[in-house]
Amino acid sequence: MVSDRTSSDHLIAELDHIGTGDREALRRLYEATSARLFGICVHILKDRELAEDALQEVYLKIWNRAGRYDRNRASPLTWLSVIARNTSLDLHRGVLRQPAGSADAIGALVDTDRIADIAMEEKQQHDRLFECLDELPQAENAAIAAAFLDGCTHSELASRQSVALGTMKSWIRRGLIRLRKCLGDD
Amino acid sequence: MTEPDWNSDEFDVLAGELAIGVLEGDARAEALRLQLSDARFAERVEAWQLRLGPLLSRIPETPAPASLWPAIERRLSDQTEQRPVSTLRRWQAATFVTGAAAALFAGLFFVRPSPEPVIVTRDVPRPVLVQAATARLGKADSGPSFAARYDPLADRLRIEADGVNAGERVPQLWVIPADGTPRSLGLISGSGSSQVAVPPALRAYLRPGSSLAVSLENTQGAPHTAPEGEIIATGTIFEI
Repeated sequence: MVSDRTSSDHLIAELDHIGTGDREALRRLYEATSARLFGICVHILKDRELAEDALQEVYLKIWNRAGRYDRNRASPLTWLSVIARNTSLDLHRGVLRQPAGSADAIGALVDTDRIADIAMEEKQQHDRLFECLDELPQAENAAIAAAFLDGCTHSELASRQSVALGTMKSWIRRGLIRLRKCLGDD
Repeated sequence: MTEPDWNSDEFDVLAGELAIGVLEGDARAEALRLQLSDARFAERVEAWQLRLGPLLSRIPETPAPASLWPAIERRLSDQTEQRPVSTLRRWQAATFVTGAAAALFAGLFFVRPSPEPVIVTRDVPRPVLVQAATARLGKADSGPSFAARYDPLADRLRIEADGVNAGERVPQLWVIPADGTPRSLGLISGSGSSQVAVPPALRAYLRPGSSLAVSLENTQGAPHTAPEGEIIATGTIFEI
């Protein structure tokens, strides 16, 4: 479902308002995006209470950084989602060093093709990334996605997949090089 | 200025590895140091995160509890007074720079003074003014502003912080001399001014060409010996 309030243009306008100190605009942005961003926090932290702490941090960061959002670098939802991901991982690393997420969840995520609530313009960026990921050998694709979505380290991924550490390192490395070439936006 | 490694796969892969979070131990510490000391590397890390960001849309939505917005609003009220809106507006204007120009500008910005110095030096002989502004253009992890003044007579560094949202963490100050290795100058306050007594061993580093940086660190074990948390500001030392 594509809804107006989560369209890129709409979110960019809200970020502009927030950048000038408009708290009502932040509330509207929260209404439109909090389920998406809370989903990310819950996925990474696997703990609702921690995820709630993380989400508070996320919107305070958005409040402080909205003026620096650059639409040429990423869609607003991508930018907001990366803030939620990084904030959750920071919190996670501060709490305990264990892989976030879970292997099962990742299997489900990688298999799904459904992308909810994305406007056309944003969907094109998404499609490009997913096409490039699909061109990677499956092992490289899965390792990069699991690392990014779960915050797993090299050795955690290696033990998850039961491969040697060196093998995992070269999967990631080769995957990143291929991915950048495919995206061609260096 | 020669930067032979700048376009190498090696450099970009390292940025990608840090961005997706696979590095651990010494490799991670080394990459974090690079992120702290090299704005272009930090730019690469962010580029990787934004590139892969669409993956996050595959995570299912979860409605947030109703009590969360009021909690956020309360915290906003606590910090609103200190918010440097005028500075943000300038930043907003600056973000119209696009594409390749933005990347170049980010590099230049590293040594560009912030628009509104917080401290004006008057009475100290040969003070060093550090404009550690909000780091790099358009970065997802750029944030608050800092200004620092070093008084070499007293060997004290005075830091003015503005708009820092430290949460449960604490800001830690670093000096990064030419060798690129951050040395801790200890914890500072996230708002208002802090005085830092500079250890004798680090005094020689506080000179033009070195950088100052602020990271947000977990309180447990702080101050840390190497930056582990998010880098929220970097700036180059220059003399006025």
